Amino acid sequence: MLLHVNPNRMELIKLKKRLIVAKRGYKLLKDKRDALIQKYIQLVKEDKIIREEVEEKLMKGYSIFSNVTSLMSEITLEETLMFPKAKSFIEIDFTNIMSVNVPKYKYIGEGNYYTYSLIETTAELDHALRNFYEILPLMLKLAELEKAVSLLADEIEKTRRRVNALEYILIPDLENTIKFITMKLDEIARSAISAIMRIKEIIRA
Amino acid sequence: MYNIAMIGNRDSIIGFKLLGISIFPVSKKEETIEILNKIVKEKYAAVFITEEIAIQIFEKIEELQKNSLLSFTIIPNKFEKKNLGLKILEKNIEKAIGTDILFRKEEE
Repeated sequence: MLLHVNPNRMELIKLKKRLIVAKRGYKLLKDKRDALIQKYIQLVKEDKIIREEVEEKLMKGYSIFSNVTSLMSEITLEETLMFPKAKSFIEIDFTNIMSVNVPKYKYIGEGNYYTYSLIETTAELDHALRNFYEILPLMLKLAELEKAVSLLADEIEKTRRRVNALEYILIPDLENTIKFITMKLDEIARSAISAIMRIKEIIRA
Repeated sequence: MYNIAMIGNRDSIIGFKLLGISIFPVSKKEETIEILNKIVKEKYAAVFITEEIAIQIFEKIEELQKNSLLSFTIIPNKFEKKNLGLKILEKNIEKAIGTDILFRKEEE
């Protein structure tokens, strides 16, 4: 498709400049896309491994906790769980992966989580809680990876669209228009030459 | 300093309460959406959602995952493991790269 421009020298110069910029942008974006995909694949692989690990450990944790619920009376369990003393926080750091801001989480646990009467509770509760406590940093790592994967996927899609638009639409259009203008200008030059030749003939005769 | 939240069926997540994580036991879709709207406004950074709840409000999670600071992670619940998290990951890869290269390779 041709762009709607007047075929003159001014436009030709402008279009040539635009073509150079478009080509440079295309090259840069293509590099960005490739780098993003490379990083993405690496993250996805890690994510998959950690997810499997977390799910397995969580299931184990759940089953231990099930034992607790069956061994203790409901009221005691409610009492035990009512006032947690420990506090869990996360600190967020941002790292930049190819202009995508990806959060990094750091787990901060405050206070002791053994805050219940040891007489009324079973030993399984301690065990279950320790289990959950150990899984938590891993779960946060998973959260971090999932977020990064989702953000990167979005960015890859965007970049790919831009690369394609440049490659298949803008650059060919510019090239065609430049060709069209050059041909038009040549045609004008030729017709001017032939007109001059014709006038010369008439004068000489 | 940001907090951690957990949404899901009560029996699965209640154990995490003693570790100082905010627990939101839910069962209905409306409740979940209400809680999510609340969480977005407060200082939370990581949200864990059990599978059977996540499946109900999937679009909302996807949207928030992209547009907010919150990170959502789907975890299995106590009763069954549907591997929903892995399925989402798979879909995500397909969207980004075009084909599902990672998981296909391993099946061969």
